Amino acid sequence: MRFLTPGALFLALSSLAILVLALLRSDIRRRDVAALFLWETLPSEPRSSSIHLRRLLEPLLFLQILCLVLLVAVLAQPVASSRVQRISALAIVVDASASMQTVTEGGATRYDVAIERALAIVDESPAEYTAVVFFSSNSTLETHETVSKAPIRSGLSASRVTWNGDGSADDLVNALSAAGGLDRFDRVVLITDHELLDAPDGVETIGISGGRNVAITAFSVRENVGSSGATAFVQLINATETYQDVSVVVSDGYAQTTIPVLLSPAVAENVIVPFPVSTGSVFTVTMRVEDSFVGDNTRYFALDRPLDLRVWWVGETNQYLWAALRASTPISSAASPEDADLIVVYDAQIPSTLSGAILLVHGDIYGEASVAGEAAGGPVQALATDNALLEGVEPADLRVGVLPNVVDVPNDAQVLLECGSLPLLVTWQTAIHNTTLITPTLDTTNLPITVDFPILVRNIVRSVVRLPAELSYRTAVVGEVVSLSGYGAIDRIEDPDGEELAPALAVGDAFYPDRPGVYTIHSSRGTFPVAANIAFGDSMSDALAAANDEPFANTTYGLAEREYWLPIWPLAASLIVGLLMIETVIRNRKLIRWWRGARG
Amino acid sequence: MRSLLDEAFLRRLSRLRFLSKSQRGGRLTGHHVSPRAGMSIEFADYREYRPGDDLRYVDWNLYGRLEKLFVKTFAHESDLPVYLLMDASASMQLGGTPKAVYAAQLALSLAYLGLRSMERVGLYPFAERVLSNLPPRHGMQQLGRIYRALSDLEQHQDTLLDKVLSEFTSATKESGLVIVLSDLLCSLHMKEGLSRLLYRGDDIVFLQVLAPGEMEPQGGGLSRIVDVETGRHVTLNLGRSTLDEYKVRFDQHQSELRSLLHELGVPLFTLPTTRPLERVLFEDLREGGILR
Repeated sequence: MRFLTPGALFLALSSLAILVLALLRSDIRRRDVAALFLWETLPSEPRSSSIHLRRLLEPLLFLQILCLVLLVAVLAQPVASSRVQRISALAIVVDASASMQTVTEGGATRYDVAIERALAIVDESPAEYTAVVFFSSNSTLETHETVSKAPIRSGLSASRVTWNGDGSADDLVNALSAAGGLDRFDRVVLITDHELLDAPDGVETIGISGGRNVAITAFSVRENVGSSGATAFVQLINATETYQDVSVVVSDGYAQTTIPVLLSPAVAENVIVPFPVSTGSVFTVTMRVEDSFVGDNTRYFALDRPLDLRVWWVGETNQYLWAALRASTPISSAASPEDADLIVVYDAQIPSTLSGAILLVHGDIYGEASVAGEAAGGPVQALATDNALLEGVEPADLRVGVLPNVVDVPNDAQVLLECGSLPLLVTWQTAIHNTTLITPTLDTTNLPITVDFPILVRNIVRSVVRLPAELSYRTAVVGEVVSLSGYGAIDRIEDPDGEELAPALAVGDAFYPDRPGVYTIHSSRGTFPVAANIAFGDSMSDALAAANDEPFANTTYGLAEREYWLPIWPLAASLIVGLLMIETVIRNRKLIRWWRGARG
Repeated sequence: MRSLLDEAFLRRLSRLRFLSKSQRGGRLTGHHVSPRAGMSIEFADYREYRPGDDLRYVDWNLYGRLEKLFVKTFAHESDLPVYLLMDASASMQLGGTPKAVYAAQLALSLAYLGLRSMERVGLYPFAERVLSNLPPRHGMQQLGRIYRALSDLEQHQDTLLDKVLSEFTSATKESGLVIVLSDLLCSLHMKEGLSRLLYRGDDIVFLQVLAPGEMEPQGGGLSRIVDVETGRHVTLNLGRSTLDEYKVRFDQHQSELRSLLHELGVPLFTLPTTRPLERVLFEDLREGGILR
């Protein structure tokens, strides 16, 4: 026992004052009598020398001294020592990445098994402060500043595994830093299905295994260069110990291709699936197989283009140009020039105030560009063969019958094709728009009947509706941030089910996909798909899963005895109250006797 | 002096009546037996028939057996003034149950049974003199007056019994039963007053009310002994020998008191306040011939 304010003990000296007062007080008792003559001249007995001692032995004086001592004890705030076996701080890190959804041979998921292990640790290592990290590429943290196990057990039992990827050592350090840092904890236990590379020193790792996986470990789609369509690349891994006869189904949203594949044990297999005429933006690959983890049996990919091209058409409709546009990308009509991704002007005039991408076919822009006159055409020559607009185009195949002989364009315009000395294909940029000009009408050329025309139109579309480089190949990983910069003003984001994204998943100008699938961004620049997959590395966890439940790096921590101080002054305070009541009763016992007598 | 007597106790008291040793008559018919034979409801004796006697009182049953005429005589019952002399000195306030309270309860009990027996009862509080007087009257209304007088009684300083008895004799012209309620812890110089009362023909009864502590003092230690009537005091270290000496003096005082009263034929009842009133009335005063 010790005192929090030992200085108050000096107040105990005041008990001496009580003793002195008790000795000094008069001890003559008054006795009222009816007749003094009976008492007068009675011999008075000699006073005993022990009278002072008897005075000090009075119960009331004893109670008063005792009350004072207790009061001093209360003011000194005594605390009693209590030793218990308990560690100060415990961190339980439970792998909550997608691979923990793998169903083990016992029927429970790896995550369920991990939670059971975590609950056992809570029971065996009671701590004053417990941090629980649900560990993944987007970890969450729960802290409990209590020795009570109930809230910790409740938090663990209520937790759910995520679709996020595996967390890294840095993720672990960062998560624990929010709980006071790694050094704060006496014991850090990581329960995971894979070995954490570069794990901090002292982290106790418990491996969870079980279940075998066949996974799609890679999926990519590239648009064909020099021709239409796209090509899908798929990598499969059989992490089981048996051959797996699987079917791989690749879809571009319009058509699908099914390929049977026989996968050898522990062997990766690559599959290439061509989509020669595909105009889709979103591709899906699904592997039909029975395994323990279904999360990596479907993957998604989105090309770096909008889901559709919004076109604002001005002038005469030309079916050839429409067909070429539709061949290059899905097309929809824009409600206004401001909503359009591409403004097509066919043999018409537009004001120079329109902004965005403009395809002029024998058309004029007031005050900026115009075509006039007629001149006999001929063969076509390319002036800039390395320009992206001419990629895959053979100028020698093109013929022009008639074309304008007066072409007024800005000085910085670049002529890509010419016929004779007259411009045929010109491109330029101003502050508000990006323009491509085909000077003749299509019916005075052989463009509509050549294979070069749809290629040229596709190139034009790709150039004028070019997405920023940072948005190319928009394949995201679940749990990792997806930036929204470059998309313009965001209207809304739809999750894979077509519902508006939960507000909790939107963070500033970014968002977190919380499950695999295709998210759709509606913005001022169009409608763009974002494919989100579980981390490819998570499919490899099975291969790295612990072969047994032994810790990868086992560091044992003994339960140290710790000393706690329990306040005992409230007990002393309650004793004071009791003593005062007893003193009152003793002091007033005469009064009580009189009262009883009066009643009797 | 609240709730001096409860109703149940009063009902039990209704069985008691005063009994006077001297046989004296009063002015009004009461339950006190007069030596003169007369008309009342209580049979007294037989005597031979004499001419002129009322034939209604001839005992014809006796004539049938003895063939002699006898007439029944009846005790003449007259009222008896009962004077309650109540000590109101300061010393009566002492005791766990104050002696004044005990004495007031006793006085009220006696007044009740007297009034119920058609006696006249009066109250005369006294200290160094007779403080006031409530002359003897009939009826239960008098009980209320006595009750209020007892309740309003104020304590006074000293007790001078001889003077009080003389004043009382002068103030009252009719002899009766004089009941003095006091602790009698005072000067016993009262022979002259008592003699005057006795000469007038009064029956006197002393009811001495004492606190147990006055009869058997307890405790010890250095004490300031204070006379509550005079304020005088002595300081004594009380011990067993001192208290024993007090007991001797107290017994001597009581002995002198008894001798004085015995000499004059006045009964004395010493009543500690711890003795139940019921026992005082039904045992002590009945056995002492005061009540029947």
